[in-house]
Amino acid sequence: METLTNWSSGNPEDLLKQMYADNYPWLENYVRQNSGNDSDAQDVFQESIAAAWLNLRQGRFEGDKAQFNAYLRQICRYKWINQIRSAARSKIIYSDTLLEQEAESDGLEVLKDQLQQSSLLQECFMQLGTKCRQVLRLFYYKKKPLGEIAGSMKKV
Amino acid sequence: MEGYREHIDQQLFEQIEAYLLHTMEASERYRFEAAMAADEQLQNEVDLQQKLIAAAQTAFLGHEATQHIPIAKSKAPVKRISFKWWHAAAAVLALVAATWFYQSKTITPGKLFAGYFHADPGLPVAMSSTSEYGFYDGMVSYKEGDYDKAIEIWTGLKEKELLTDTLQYYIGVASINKNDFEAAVQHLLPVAEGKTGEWRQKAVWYLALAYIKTDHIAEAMKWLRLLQNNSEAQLLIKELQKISS
Repeated sequence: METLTNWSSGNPEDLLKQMYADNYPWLENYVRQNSGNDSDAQDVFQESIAAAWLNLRQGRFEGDKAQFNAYLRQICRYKWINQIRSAARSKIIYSDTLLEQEAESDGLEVLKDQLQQSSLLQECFMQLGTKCRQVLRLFYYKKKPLGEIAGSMKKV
Repeated sequence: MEGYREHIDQQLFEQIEAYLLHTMEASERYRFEAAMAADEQLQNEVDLQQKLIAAAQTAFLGHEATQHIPIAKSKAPVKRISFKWWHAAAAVLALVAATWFYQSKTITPGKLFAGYFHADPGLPVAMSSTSEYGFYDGMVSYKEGDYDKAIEIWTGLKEKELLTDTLQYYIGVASINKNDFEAAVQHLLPVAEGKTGEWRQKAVWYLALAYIKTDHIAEAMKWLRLLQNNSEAQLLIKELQKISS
């Protein structure tokens, strides 16, 4: 079994890509089947993974890899159901027992705040200049040493 | 910003970063954690920086992950292929693509189960409760993914006449998690059949999923119809109707 202690301490790029590979095809299918398209799925995944990833890094989530994937899918579902409800693109009434139970344990308000914050942070991040984003990407995402980053930026 | 320092110098920024990226020495880490415990503003700064790092790490994900799908490139020298062979290869490729497309669009009980099933995360473990120690001992194993051990512990409690809906329900979901659907039905059914009870709704949901996985579609739909206020269950019924029609 892959526990989070040996699983979550790995390289962020590898872990995030694994999470993407494990869950994105499922989400794309789910969103397509519920009035959405691939672009909606990308947006939902981006915000949901940001919230779930932060909780994992802050130690708020406890469980193994399979449980994390289930947790991430729960957030994606919550996010998409709320999105289609607020956009009035569907008449689905959100009263999902399972999601409510999950929300009770994690705190629905906390989750809402986290998704909102994640969305805002992503927006801010995209407003940075290309070079700034590149430096952050290489350092935090790819875990490249600063010397190497400096070298690669000179070539740009 | 309230709750944050007015100014944060480079040294402190780097200290926080080293703490979050686990590049800090153990002794320094210990001192830093003690400082955080005594300084709410420092704790807030650490939280904020963690959010920023998480945002930076996830911002590129969708874009990069889709761009890194490996595309096989042939390094073999280009040869002239006769029209006949090219035609046959194209036909085979088209057939493969059509088959794949058909299969990917075909809804099966297995696909529905995979799409809708998400494991119950379990209950928070309360170590102080001595009367329910056995139950929570099993819950620790459940959360660790050791479903066999969890079931063994909980089944032992059943034999001591501590049979409750909670226990039945968790033996049922642990059985689903280990792909033992027959046992799952056996334990979830009595809970789902109850007229009331805290676990009834969840038991109905997982019971229906166990029936879907074992191809008992009509039975699954019968149970899902009881979850009238559950939007996910209603969507699932629509999918099942497509299979059974």
